Amino acid sequence: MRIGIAGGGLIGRLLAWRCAAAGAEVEVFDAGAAGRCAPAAAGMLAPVAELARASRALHARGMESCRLWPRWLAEEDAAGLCVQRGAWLTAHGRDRGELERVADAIAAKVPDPDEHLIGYAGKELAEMEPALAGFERAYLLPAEGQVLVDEVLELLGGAAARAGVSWRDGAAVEEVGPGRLRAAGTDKRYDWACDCRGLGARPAQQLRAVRGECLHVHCPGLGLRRPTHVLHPRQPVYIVPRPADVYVVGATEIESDDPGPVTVRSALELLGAAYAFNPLLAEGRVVDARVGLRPALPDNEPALRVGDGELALSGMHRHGYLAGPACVSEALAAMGLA
Amino acid sequence: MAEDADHFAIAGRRLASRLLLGTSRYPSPAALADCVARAGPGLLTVSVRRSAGGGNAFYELLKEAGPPLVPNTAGCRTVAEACRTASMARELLGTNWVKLELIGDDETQAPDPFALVEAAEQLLREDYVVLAYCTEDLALCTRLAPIGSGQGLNHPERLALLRQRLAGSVLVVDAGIGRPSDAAAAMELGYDAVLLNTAVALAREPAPMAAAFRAAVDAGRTAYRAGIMPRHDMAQPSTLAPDIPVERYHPHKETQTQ
Repeated sequence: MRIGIAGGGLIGRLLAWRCAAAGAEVEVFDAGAAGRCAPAAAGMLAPVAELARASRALHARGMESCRLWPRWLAEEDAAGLCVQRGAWLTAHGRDRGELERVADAIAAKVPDPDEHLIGYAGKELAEMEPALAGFERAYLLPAEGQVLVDEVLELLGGAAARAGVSWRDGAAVEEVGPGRLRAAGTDKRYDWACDCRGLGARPAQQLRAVRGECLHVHCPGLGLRRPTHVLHPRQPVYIVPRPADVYVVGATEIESDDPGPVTVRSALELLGAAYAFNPLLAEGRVVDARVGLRPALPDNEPALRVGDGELALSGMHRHGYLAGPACVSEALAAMGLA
Repeated sequence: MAEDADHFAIAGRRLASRLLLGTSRYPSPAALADCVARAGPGLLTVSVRRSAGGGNAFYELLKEAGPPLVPNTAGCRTVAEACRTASMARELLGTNWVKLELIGDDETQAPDPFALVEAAEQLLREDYVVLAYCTEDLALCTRLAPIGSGQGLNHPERLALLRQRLAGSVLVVDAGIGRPSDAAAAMELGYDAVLLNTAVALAREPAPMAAAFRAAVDAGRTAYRAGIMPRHDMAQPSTLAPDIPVERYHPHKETQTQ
């Protein structure tokens, strides 16, 4: 089977690798890193926390991805790039109402709330996660975790190449049709043409950009072990540990297609929240600032559309790492490669 | 007898409903569109400040939802910032309407009344239709008339006084409404409309909650127009039963005297 893939970001890489690993002959057309949003994500696998806003379908895809990530990464001896120690859901004392609102909303939707949402308080919380000692109360979400974004993106590129995927760099795809990709004015024929572009798929798909900004802060001594959602009525943030004492503080969600650098306002909000999270972060160093434009459909959820010899995986929005493996697995099944 | 038509207009423009909706914090634009379909709001307020002109795709989705869009100046702290935002919004959305918000305190989001009056005056000179977000202070609202909006139902007697004293102005209750009964209560006081956002956006099921608020606003308005009976110190039986001794209505009194 011959498969042509438009887009070499997170989803394009995952799909190319899995198709090639399943025996297909795969060619990827990638416009380049310029508009890529995958590196600006924190890589959280938050199928439970997302239920506060997202559908049960996304939750199911997230749970499936939590199962697939370590399995797939293990094939490349890289299971360690997926860390599943659970995550925290918390809020400062005065935002307690927001914490309870979100916990209630999740509990109403998750199949087994007692298993997925475990309350910790006081000394017990401080022992479990010393970096959260300043918080009165937090919920542990044991199913959650993270993938290490930069390492995973690099690994997926390598894994695709090792599986025999041909890579066309700097080749933006102009059109995807049934069994057909059009790049640099030339039509290429395949058994399946797959559209894995993000915002590059505009205007064919009803996508809009949701700007996200995050900061990487180096802070030895903080010792936070699990990704933490800090709820707030207006500025919720997450703090996600990376290797070597770096923490990703993110992320804004702004209805805008402006790809420019992080604004002062956003930096103030993110760093203000970081400092309030734990004063140790005040002495941290901002070592990186990243911006991504998330491709979003009107319902803010990923969509797999399958036609005759063509399919599209689009609108990953904030959920590329969370829903990506499950969506790719569904795409493989649709092409008869499962 | 048929009821008189109950039209609602601001600055001469007829609006389809007395329920007005904000557009932030919904799970998605699609969820917001569902709520608009269920609530049939008279207008939608929208924040433009952070998009800096780059949010066109989002505004297009909002426009498709149907009701007129009114930009707000949410998060602005100074007169200059609010006026600049209003001007940007005018260009972006093609409207001279603006919901003027000037935050005086970050934590409570309470408005700054002094800056509000100054900004409102400036914007009115520039031909804006200004919906000013303020507290239910009588003197402040008198300065802001003809259009103002109140906050919350913490002080219903003050809201009632305001309604009475500014009988000819459009008064909208905004912010702090959590339940449909709050919205109905505001409408029962004779307020012209209710503007809400998070009570719908953060409901577990936003679309049915939007429908509930629509019904509440209709109920409150209809009740106000029908003339709500005045409150009495003691309950009055709705039907008199002259053959039953009056003492029968006071069983506790009898118990006490025994």
